[in-house]
Amino acid sequence: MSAAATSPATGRATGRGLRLERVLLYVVLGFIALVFLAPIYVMVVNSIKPLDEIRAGNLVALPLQPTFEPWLQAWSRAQIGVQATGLKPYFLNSFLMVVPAVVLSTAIGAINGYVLTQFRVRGATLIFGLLLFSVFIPFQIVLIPMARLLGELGLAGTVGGLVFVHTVYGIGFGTLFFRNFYAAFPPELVKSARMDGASFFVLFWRLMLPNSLPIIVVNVIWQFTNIWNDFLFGASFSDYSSYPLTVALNNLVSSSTGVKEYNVHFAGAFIAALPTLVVYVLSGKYFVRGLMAGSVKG
Amino acid sequence: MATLSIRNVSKAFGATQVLHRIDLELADGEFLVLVGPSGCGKSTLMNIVAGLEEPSTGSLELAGRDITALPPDERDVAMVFQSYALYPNMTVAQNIAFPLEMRKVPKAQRAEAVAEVAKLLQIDHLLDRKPRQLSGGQRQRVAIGRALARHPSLFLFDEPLSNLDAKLRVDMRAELKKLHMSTGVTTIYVTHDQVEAMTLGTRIAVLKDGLIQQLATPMELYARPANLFVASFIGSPSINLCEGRVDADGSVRLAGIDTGVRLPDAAGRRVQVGVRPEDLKLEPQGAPARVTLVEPTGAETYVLVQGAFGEFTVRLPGESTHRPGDALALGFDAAKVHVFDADSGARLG
Repeated sequence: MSAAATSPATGRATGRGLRLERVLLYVVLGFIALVFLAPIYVMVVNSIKPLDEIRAGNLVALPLQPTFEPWLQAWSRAQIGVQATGLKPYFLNSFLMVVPAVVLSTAIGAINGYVLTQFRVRGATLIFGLLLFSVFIPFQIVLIPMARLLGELGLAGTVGGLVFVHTVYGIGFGTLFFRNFYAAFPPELVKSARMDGASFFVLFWRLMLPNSLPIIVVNVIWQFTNIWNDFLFGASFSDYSSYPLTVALNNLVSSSTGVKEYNVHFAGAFIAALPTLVVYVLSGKYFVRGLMAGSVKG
Repeated sequence: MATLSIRNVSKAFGATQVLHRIDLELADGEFLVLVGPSGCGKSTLMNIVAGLEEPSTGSLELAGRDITALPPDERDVAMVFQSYALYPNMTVAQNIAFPLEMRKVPKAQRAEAVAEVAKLLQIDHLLDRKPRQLSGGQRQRVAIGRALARHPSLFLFDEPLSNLDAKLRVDMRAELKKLHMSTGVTTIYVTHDQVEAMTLGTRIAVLKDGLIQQLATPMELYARPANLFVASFIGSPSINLCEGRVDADGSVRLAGIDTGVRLPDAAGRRVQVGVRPEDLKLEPQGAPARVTLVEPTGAETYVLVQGAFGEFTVRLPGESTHRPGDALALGFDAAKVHVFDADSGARLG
């Protein structure tokens, strides 16, 4: 790349200094990328090897006889619970848990942020402070009270119960994100809409939400990743029929009977990680943009 | 079309009194300009009329209807904001139609209203665009169109031209005046720009510290400012001011020169004497002064002079032959000399 194509800030440097700087920069970036990619490489490579090749000892080697058998095994045939169902039903459980939980916690967070910033609510600062505090409550503390509550509600051991827990836990972060975003929302727009006759929900639905895409993306990625990857709540509040994928994966990997099928474990772990990867790749650029939107925009 | 009465309106934020018992009557079709420095309360007064803020005391009546307690959308008032406040997710047409949609106007009628104002404001070719694709002047037109489409009884403009560049501002100013002449809607216009105030208003209310300093027609305001603040706020270049004295016989003297003004009631008082730059004459037997700076603007020339009275600006028509360092003498026209009390600032004569 020529010097002219670089940003004006570095464009002033002399040709030679610039080249050296660039080379160093790319070496460092390349190294960091390698560090992050290495585990993925190991997982992919070993998930398509026959078990013998893994036993031979070289985890980094490319497969001699590539096979997708471990993936099929992990997906639909491996022994997880009582039956050999593979990860498939638990993958579905995770989706049934994560989609409503993300939608609900985002919706509630958005409404909270809207009310806390655009209306004079008595004790708004205190309410927000308490909601913010909920972000810092460790999961372990709520385990027993939550188990009791889920029992009372008749949601114990169901996917619905997990949706409930994650929605409640997601409200704190969702409110924080949306409140900060809406605090920087141009007040004249809201005034104008009020004069034009927009009601509480019309204002929210027609003006605030359509202009909130960056923060919606941030919140969705954040909640999706956290809820999808959660193990503690999944292990505590579900049973055989409602295990999320993380718990099922653990059962697959740590089952003590029979031969350890590492290639199947690798494939299973990759299946479990795939959805969050997809979410990041699809909306990563909005994520970075959205995180900064609240702080930069006036 | 309607009259507006603002009666005894005060506003306090905690211990800070922003508006003090404001009384204003707007006749049907009037264009009232609220002008004043920032923090004078003009925007607060506008927000109270719009219904975006509640007054601490007082009442508002629009077209014979008490609107003090009504929410903003039931007041039949439309507002144009300084930042235009166009909805970024909607097209120009949707923006203009939005207030009508909120009022449940049928779709066909909305489209008609949009087409009508778009034609009037020459934005028909922009109807499908989003606000971010428009220039500042175009956004301004859309904002005006959105307010116009509703056919409100009262228009509110909150510094609508201050985000535009200088040339566009002058053009839009003239267009706003024409628009007001053709629609005849009663209007309140807030600005801190005294040229806008003078050119647009049928009457001007000068505000300072939450009090109306003077309410008058533009020319009256210019010719007979009620106090020192109004005198110095209105007019560009601003009025020349100088400490003066009223003699025992009532003649007002400025740097030893008799201005010709007689104020027998104010004998012995300390006063501030104000003379507008165009009211100073060059007279051989006047107050001596020396030219310090010559500023030609084309149609006229501002000559800054230094004398016993301090520094004055003299406005001379056309080109001037004066050079810095030249000596000259200034004379006064008694009818055009403004005298204010030095302590209270109130007009004495």
